[in-house]
Amino acid sequence: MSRHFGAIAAVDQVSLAVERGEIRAIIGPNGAGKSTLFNLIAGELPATGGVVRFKGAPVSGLPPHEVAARGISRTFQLTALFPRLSARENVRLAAQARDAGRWRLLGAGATAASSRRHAEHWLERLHLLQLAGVPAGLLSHGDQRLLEIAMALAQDPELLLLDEPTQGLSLEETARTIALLRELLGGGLTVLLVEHDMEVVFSLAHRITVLHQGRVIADGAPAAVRSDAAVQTAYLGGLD
Amino acid sequence: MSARLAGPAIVAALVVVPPALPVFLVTTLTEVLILGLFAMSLDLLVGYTGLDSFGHAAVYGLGAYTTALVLLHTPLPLPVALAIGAAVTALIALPIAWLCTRTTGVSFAMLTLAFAQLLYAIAYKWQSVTGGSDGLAGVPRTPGPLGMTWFTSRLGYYYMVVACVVGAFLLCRAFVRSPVGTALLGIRDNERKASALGYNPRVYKIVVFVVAALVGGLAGALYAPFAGFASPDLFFWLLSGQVLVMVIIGGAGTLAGPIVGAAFFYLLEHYLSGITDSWALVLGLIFIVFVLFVPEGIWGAVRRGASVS
Repeated sequence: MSRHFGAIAAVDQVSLAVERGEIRAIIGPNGAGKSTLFNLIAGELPATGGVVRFKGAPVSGLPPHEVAARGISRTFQLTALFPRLSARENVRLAAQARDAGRWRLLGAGATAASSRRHAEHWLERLHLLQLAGVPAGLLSHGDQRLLEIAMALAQDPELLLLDEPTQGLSLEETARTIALLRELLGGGLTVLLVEHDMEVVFSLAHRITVLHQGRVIADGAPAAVRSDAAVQTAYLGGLD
Repeated sequence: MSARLAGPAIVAALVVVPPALPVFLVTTLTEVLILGLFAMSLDLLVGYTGLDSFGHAAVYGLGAYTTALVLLHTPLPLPVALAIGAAVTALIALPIAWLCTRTTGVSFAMLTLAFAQLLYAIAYKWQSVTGGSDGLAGVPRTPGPLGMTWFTSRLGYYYMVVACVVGAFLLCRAFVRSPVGTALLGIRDNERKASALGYNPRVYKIVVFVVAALVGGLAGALYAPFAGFASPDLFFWLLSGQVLVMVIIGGAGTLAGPIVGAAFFYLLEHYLSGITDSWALVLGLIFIVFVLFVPEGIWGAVRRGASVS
């Protein structure tokens, strides 16, 4: 698929197929088109060419909320939360979005209770339960990144798009996040991961796609990509 | 006094005290409550969804004119006319909501303002139906069958208004706590994130717009038989601006706050206009002080104080 901004091809005839249960990392230097690719898949940007298929059905052209309803959830490169609402309410709203009772006015308490249980489950998995009552805007940057992952998981997705989950984190926080992601993503969830931190990529990904100036320049198992000459050039020796 | 009991205590006072008050105070209280109901309906948009409507007078005028027309031209009793006023307002608001929610921010504010002014122009020009600049006078409080006449008296009408305000408050509170209402808060805080979670912001905005029109329409509906007339001023942008001030001074996003804000605004306006011609200037300065130093409004500050102590 492609996305052009005027004469610039931000994503230029990129084609990739991700298998169910696969953790695929998308790497590449700044401006390679990684986030644009995410925005195309999530329906935030219309593609100027090509199509996105999810489980065989086209999802390109759908607005973000319908893409989400098909079972694709995402995190944002710049943390996107509901800053005035508590951490618990943030995750609860994520869970509620997939709840059949989300339009119910009578018996709304049942919907609230089930989404709340769901939310507390994910807060606990991400070790955020003790911060559940804190407004999301007041959490530390590291906790905010984790909260966003908790929200994405609470949507109960089949495909998870993670946009630089460790961006801006300290070394310890990065290590903690890697450990958590390893534990959380083991269950057969399909993941697309955009990441700059190679440690994160090599410790999580089954397969790596390298983008450079909007094009795929390498694609394969981590070891093969690591030794690829084109990748080395693109990163100007920045890899390893 | 615990916060839990504050609501019932206020309602009890509103029921018990008025028979002992001089009649002009009952009238004042009635008007304040009607304005409070109107401000509370705007809070659904401003405080809970982040939709800054600059044309909320539209629903007040629609409710008032519809009810006035029903009472003037049909034998239907007052409660039915009120229900029709609110329902017709919500119905007319639906296509307006559909159009206005295509935009956000300033464009949304300007579109709502434009629709309200459009309705103002219609009320002004459509002489044969709306009475033009004279408006509709002599709106009766038609009694119901089976001797339902209690709401035709001044005090009886006051109780009618209290019942409507309390009922609407409880419904609005249930609404903002429902799954739909909590999703509105998400849309207010971060619309892009809300849609990434699977909420369609447009649909939610249309829903809350129509609910706000229903409640605001009821406020307008109550006003016409209270004052005995409906005039084009009820659609005018000045009222849209004033009700926005009531919401902000009272405390946006609290439901009860805007009712307090309406009382504060109304009483201050009447008090100040008795001592100076430049009352609007003083009111404006007070508003600036609130925006700068008490952004959470009167009710927000009271609530924070109560939770600290």
